[in-house]
Amino acid sequence: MLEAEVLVIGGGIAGLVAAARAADEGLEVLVVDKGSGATYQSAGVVDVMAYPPSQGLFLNPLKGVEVTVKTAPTHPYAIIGRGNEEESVRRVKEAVEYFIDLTSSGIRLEGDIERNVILMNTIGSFKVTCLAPHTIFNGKVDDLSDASLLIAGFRGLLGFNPAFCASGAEYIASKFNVNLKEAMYTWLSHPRLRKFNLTFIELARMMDDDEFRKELGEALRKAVAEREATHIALPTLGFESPEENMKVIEEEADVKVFELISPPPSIPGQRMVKILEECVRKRKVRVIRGYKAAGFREENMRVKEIILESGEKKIPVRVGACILATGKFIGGGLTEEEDMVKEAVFGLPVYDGRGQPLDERKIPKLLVRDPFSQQPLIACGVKVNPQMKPLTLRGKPYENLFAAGSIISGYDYVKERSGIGVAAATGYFAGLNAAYCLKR
Amino acid sequence: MNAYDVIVIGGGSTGTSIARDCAMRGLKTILFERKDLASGATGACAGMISGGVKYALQEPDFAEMCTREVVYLSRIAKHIVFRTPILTAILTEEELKLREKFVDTYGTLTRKRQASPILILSPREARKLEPKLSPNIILAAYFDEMFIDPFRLAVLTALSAKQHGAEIRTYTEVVDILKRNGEVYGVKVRDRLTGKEEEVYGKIVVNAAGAWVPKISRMAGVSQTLRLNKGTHVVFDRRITGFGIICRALDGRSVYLFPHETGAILGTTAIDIFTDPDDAEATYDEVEYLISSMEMAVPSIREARIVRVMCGVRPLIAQWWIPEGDVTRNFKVIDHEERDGVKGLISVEGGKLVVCRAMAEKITDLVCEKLGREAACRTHLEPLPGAEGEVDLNKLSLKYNVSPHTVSRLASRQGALSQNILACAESDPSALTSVCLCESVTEAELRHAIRGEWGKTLEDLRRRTRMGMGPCQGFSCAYKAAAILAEERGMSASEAFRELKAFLTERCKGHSIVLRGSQLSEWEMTQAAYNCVGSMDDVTPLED
Repeated sequence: MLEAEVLVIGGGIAGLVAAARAADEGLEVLVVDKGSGATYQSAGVVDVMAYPPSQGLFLNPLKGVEVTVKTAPTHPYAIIGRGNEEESVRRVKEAVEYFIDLTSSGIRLEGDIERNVILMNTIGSFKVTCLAPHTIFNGKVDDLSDASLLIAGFRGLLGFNPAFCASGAEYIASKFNVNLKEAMYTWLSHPRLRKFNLTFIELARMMDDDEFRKELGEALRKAVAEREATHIALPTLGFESPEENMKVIEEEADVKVFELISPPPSIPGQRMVKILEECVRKRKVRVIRGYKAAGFREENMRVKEIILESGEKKIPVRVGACILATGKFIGGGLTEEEDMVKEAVFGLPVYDGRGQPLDERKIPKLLVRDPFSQQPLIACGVKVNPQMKPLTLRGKPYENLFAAGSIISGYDYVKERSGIGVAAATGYFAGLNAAYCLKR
Repeated sequence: MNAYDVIVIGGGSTGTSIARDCAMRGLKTILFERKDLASGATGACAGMISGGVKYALQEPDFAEMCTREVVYLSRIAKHIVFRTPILTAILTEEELKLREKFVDTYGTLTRKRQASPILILSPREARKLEPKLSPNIILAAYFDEMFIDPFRLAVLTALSAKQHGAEIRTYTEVVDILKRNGEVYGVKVRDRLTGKEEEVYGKIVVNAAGAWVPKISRMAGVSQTLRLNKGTHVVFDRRITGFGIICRALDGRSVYLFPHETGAILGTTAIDIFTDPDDAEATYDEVEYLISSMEMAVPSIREARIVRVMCGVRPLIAQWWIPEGDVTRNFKVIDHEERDGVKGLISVEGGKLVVCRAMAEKITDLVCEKLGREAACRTHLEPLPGAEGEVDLNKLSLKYNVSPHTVSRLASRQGALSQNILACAESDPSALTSVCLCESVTEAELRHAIRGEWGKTLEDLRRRTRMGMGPCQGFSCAYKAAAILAEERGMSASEAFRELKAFLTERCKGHSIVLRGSQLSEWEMTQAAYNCVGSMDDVTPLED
């Protein structure tokens, strides 16, 4: 039988931050990850708060957090500060700073937690966020004032059309009142690249190649000279060494270079998971991949054992404390049974965004027709107390079970753009509280 | 000149067939479709072109016609026609008696359409063929039916009409019928994309608007009643069974589960509706009725992944006091001069997909008679575009270095024209990049649909290429296709975003009825990608 002082179920941002934080307290931590979840698919940037519940765009994420605490008492941001705005803001800041520090050996996150920025994406529109890897942050729309932007595409690359992105750039500039001088595009090709159905990861891997990135820089220098461009946007700057690749290309082409945000499959998201995992491993956290938590045993409201499962194979793990960071539907933390939402591991009761139990409410009742309106289903999940302990059907929580990330109800990461902010904050305090609970 | 011999209203399988027949007989023809080709009942049906066995006892002539039409369609549209073997699962003794007659009449008809004979299989034999069948069946009857891609049928028929000189105008709505001294002399239409209105004159107006026939007739001051009947289909992510399965529904009707293209389709319901057919929607009850019914024969159906729910409205002939299933599927051509004293107007009621060509033939005969023209129908002889020759899949796959799967999917839609589409790669190999990964649709095929098949919106591209119809329901292809559409049609970013949102809204329609199992993860992914990362919830059109 395996043993762990703290078992974290889920290897996304929330789980890994919780694992790192618990390990910081000197505990022996085991993370179990069943496969690539939502973080792996995410844009790889740090959203804290851009559109607070029923509000328009907020330029200051922390002000957004404040408003959220005031208007949405069941929001995790409100819960971590016990309803006190200043306390919430302080705690969110502390957690996000911890996240920046935690990942600093692998990602240079740029930006300011008190300022949201507009970043262009590969689908021709934009994303609002507050911190992003340096290679992405360099392309923030504010910096494109008076710029002549050249968007470089690769023939045959799946899902990137620089011509459309150029027209999108003009739309974004006028929407956000940025005086973009010109948005141009160019198509690149290279004998080493597949002629069609080239994937983002193939291109990213190629970017990491010394010779390729140099040649790309040279090709771009020519394009820049012809078009008199001042900035170059690329769909990706590589997987292993984006920062270095950017520098090489910038030197060759002699203009500012940045990479665009992209929907899944997103390279920055994949980079973030990889780096976070390296960072927690450095803290002596063990990570088991390919297993999922399939059952548990409890005694007197304490979780004693978690059963891990992979195919037919079952491994019981004796645990001191457990952190549930299984995510929503993408991660598998929430599942469906007879049209109702279920929590997958412990069968915890599921609540809506306002803190009301779902009971017999069926999924279609939690959806609205317009896919661009707020979907109540997104805010469903388990309900936590200020210690991040999820409520059980018996009313009171298990003494040693904590929850983190999007398995928690009360927030809509899609609408708010608060995904990593809440994941980091709830992960941080879940990890810390798990440690306290064991030490006591 | 905007004066025509014939104006056809409706771009479904019937309307396009009429336009084709009229044009082939040398009539100056124009067709108006309010939305897109095959966007009504044609696009919501299962694509079965039944040999008509069901009608053999009550309506032998009609059954004969169906059988004949299957042969014609297999000939003129061979690349979009496919054969599906079917097992009728019999669960009770009582049901066995009911099915007996069916088995008898089937035999004689199958010989005529060169189909395999019906076979009665023991439960063991049947389950060996189709392991997903319930162990509770007492018998299974094996036969087969032909199917057609209904979207392609309408598009190819319209293309053929165009090649013979007809004009096809999609997104053009008839807003009025022009009438003088009791005689129809044309229509007033509105271009729904530009808002422009114009009058178009014609000697004969043919109302083939399906469920909207009464609405059009009203414009000419004619009262017409149909029995509008809603049918709902549930679409699954994979073929589920190798055989089509038919079984008795909870209320004694029949329901079916057919493997269809890359997925499976479960249907159908039959509910009389009395509202505007535009407002017809699938409901939770219909989905549950279908699943609970099919569950008796295929127990695992409840666990299968539903990707979509859709409905269509059958324009049945107004026979009442009998169940929907007993209403004739034969059609009626109405000469409004004879019936209502309105000269120049013809309409069609009832009918079904398989007889669309025959309906057109009968109507065109009447049109010719009225115009004093003599020309024989040739629609059953000449192939539709793409059906003219054979395609060598291996050769094409090797020549263009595309996967055999991609080539075979392309050929199932484009037939002999596949070669021309793949030829784009000679000047630009990147044209073979997949846009829709679920259905293996290339950029070249999408551009072809935009340039040569009246593809104006993303929904149009879906109907023509199956883009966005797979398990991801547009999540990974919608934005890619929007960029191509914008490029081809010179749309601004703002217009393209609006188009993208309209497409995704349509794709998500079924979700508010049923969203289960792993489709929830796909749904969350779409939400996150398009709103959280793509900000489609905040791309308001800019003011000038």
